[in-house]
Amino acid sequence: MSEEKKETPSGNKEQLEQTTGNNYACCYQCGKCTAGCPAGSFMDNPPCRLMRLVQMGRIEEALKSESLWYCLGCQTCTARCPQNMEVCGTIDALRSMALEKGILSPNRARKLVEAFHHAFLNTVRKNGRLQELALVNSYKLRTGTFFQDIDAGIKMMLQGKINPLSMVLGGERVKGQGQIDKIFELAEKKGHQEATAKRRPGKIEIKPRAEVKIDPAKVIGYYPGCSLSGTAKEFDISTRKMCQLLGLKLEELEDWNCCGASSAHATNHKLSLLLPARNQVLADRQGLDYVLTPCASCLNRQVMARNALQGSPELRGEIKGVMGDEPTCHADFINLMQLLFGLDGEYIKSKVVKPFKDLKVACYYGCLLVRPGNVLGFDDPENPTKMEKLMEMLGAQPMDWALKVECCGAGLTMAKPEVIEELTHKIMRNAASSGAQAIVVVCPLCHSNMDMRQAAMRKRFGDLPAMPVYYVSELVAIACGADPVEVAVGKHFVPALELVSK
Amino acid sequence: MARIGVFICHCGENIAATVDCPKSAAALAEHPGVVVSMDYKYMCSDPGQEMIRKAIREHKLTGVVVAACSPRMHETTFRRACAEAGLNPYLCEIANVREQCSWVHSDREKATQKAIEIIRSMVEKVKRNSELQPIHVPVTRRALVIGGGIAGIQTALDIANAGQEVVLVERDLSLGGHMAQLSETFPTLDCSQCILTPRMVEAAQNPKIKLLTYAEVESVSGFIGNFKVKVRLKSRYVDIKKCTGCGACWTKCPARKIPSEFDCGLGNRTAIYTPFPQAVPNKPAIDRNNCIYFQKGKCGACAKICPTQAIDYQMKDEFVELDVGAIVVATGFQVQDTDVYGEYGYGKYPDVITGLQFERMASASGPTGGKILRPSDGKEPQTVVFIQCVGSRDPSKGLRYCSKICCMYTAKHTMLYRHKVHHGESYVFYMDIRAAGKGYDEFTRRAIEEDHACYVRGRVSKIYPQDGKLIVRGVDTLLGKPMEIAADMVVLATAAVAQADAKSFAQIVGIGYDENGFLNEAHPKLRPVETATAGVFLAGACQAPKDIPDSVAQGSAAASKVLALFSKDELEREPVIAKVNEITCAGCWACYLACPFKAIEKKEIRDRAGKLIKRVAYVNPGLCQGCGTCVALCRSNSIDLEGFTEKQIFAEVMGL
Repeated sequence: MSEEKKETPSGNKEQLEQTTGNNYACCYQCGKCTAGCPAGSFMDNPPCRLMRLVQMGRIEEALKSESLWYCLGCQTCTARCPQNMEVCGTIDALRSMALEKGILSPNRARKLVEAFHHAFLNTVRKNGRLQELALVNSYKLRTGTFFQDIDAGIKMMLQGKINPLSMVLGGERVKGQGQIDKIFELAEKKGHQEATAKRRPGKIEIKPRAEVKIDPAKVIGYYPGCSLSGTAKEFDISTRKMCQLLGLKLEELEDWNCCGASSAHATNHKLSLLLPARNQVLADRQGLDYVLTPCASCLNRQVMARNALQGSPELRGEIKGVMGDEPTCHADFINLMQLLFGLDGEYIKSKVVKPFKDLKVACYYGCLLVRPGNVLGFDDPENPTKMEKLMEMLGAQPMDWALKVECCGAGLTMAKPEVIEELTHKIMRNAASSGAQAIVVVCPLCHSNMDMRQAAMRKRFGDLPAMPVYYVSELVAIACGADPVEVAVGKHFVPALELVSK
Repeated sequence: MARIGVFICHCGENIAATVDCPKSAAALAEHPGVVVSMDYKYMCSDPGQEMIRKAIREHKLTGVVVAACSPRMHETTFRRACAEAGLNPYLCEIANVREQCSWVHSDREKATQKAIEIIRSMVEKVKRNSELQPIHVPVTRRALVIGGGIAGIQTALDIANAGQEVVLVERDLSLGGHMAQLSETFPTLDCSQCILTPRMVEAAQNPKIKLLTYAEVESVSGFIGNFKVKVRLKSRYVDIKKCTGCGACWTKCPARKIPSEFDCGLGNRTAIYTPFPQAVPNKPAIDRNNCIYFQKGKCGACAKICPTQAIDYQMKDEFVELDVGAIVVATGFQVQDTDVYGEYGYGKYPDVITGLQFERMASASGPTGGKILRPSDGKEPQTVVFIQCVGSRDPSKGLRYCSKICCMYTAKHTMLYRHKVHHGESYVFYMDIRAAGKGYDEFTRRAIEEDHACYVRGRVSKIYPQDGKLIVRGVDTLLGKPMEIAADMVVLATAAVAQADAKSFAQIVGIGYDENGFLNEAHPKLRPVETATAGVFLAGACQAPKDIPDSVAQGSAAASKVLALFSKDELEREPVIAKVNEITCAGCWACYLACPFKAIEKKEIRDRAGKLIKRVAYVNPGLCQGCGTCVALCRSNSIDLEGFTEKQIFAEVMGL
């Protein structure tokens, strides 16, 4: 397509059709995307309006929408679309297009979110990994929001979750910095156009992925991701401890880089595939069968990238150009639940030495662990139950509740804390009214939104009991005999030690 | 010496726009054996047919090729024209130059060349055609109607009232189908059972109708006018000849907590039961899987109490063979399983119910006695949300098509609700309101304007319980805003889908079905109640979702087709059947084993003294369908298909 044609409204629509695979004529404006959108009520043009604007070729109005900067990327819209449209992908594509063309909403929300993504990707560009303090500082400098979350920041520093020295000394860096540079260069090349497979209305088959079979004698790869090396230190510590107690050998993926979640796919589709693709090559090189990826966001990006690599020779070629060898895609990135269910059920039970008694928990999966269902295929995307089964094995009592797969607000935690509070509050209230005393999570972002922001929510809404928020790995480790202090449960914002120390 | 006439039709512009008809006619005139070749604007018109008749008489033609549309359109027309001119109709062949040439090509020159070749090959075939005579078969004047819902009842009554015999087979215990479950009917709000039960009784009492309930069709063989049908009479464990329907057994039965299928699980029934009080016949059956006697070996309460000793625990299924001349399939539909919508929580939250469950709730004979009470706690719901298109128009999780009836029944539900709960609030989430029908749009407007149903254009994405309410997260697409409603009960307008066994059933009867399992009509506009199999007709929702008026209309239409068939003494059939060369047949019986219609018999050939010379295959012309299986299989090349002999086909191919 020529540059000239792209500038016309129909050219822009064609470009969107190519990147998303959508035929926009298929949207019949039922509104299910807006109905399910957690941020829908904050948006000027909620998802179904954006789809309509694109359908009618009114792309510029869509690009200027404030809603692009409220989208949480939770994929609820796409997952439930009766016409199999890529709604979330449309919003991502619009956002990239808005940035590329400089046609932007003049409002504050856009400025904040854009600043966040800029700051995020800049630290990744510089280091290959995300350094959370660098991100926060850079973001605050850009936006002037110096005092937001200052208490939380100080607490995290004291707990060693963020290291101020890294600002001076430079934190962990990826050795293959040249490769990261090349990836950014490829992704930012103008006018590149990848064609996604066409989506058409039709039955969405949720096929379970190839069964994961874990052999405790074999080494399992470990991809902690950036959060687990920083603010979600507890998740890292408890995962390692859990594996040790289960007799599993972890081997960290050598020289891994940030997967790009969530700023890469929010702003640059190519980047969101190439960053995780590098990890895939590294994992294949290292000869790993499975790579444990505790963070739900990272896992989502890795699985999506592996899926894209398997289907696209061009993408494989591009990453080969960066890395020197093509990924075989043998290594499979799995989450904690897949790891545990890949073991024999009796095996885990045999390792439980201190089962919980009278611990009522609400298992919270969040959005990205189950979506898109037809690619992740890990559990029922609307009503997953694997975490509940695991909790039963540990002696805890999982409560039946409804908002297990609602989005907490994820990556907007810095830019739009007031939105996060509303979304997370709704989820937590539903969990509390089921009778649960605590929430179990598998994602660092879910954890920080529920744990760090809980006090503020309680103050604002006044109807929330104090609910500790545990990582699933913490509970497994404790049930298998770990001291709660040892797995860093004491480092949570909401006091969490007492409930599991009985 | 062959004297063939070629007649090329322009079909207005349909053929002539792409095929040069005069040029083709000139080319064919040169072909050996062709004595006359002409083209005309509309060959099927009266002047066109007259051209053919005149040419046959003037040129003493021995064969005719009409190059025109598909033989499915006008073969009969042209063969009749030939017969009128004294030529055996089977000496007339159609060369399809429209569907197979002009409609699918754009290059005029190449298309003309192709048309010429198609016509030539037909000329070669027709040179080898022989005179054939149609086959006459008798008609059994008895109809089989499968399915005892409103469509089947209507068909059976119409046929019987015209004086012909009907066997009405219903697989459930009673006639009535889905209509018996409904409370009131749109757009008049008259009571469904009040208008249906008199028809049910009439069907049961009509001397021309033989009623077989709790029975299923096992196999169908034969052909139009002469079907043989095997029906399984499932054992009720109750002798319905002795049973008086007094009800002593089901009042005594100790197994009382079985969810009633008729009440969609909202109420309970006993193990020996009739589905509903007005059942026809009003005779019970024992549900073996839930009967204490059958499961544990002791109880027998029903046998002890029965005053006529009608209970028979040893009863076995029986089979009956029926000879019928026509079959009407009226097997109906079922409601889609809503388990696929995890986000709506049907089956998880008791107060999320289906439209059919709401019908039972609103029905005076239903489990709540006609009161609207939510299942979880029996309280009257003050806010009810109705969601349309659950399963319909949803290719991702449900079905691509529109179920047609839901817009109307949802409007009716809001009215019934408002009439019973005067201050109740109702919301309807809809995508489009499809109310095309006499008095239908007025009806939905009445629901909105007078019964205050609040219609919201948009779908619902999630339903979840919070503080004793169901939070319904939907959208108002007209405002472009998401919205939440705290409801006491949610009613899902679930899609109407084909019966679970529709495909296997269609294979038993030998008729087609579509991707959704609905049975196929012969032509979507012009032959709506016929199937591609002669003598088998369709009525009601087995063909596509339909409301009551449409089902009844189709039932009557099917009946009229059956009656037209029965108005003849015998049927004329195409003589395209297999024929055995008895001289070369070795009697290996490969054909005998392979024939799907059991049309091949063993024939003995004897000399004058009556001594057996050999046994050969013989094709029963009444049964043979001309499929050609035996022809392909015969090792000694002793079977040929009349009208499509190997000689003809080879000539046709070599003519290209």
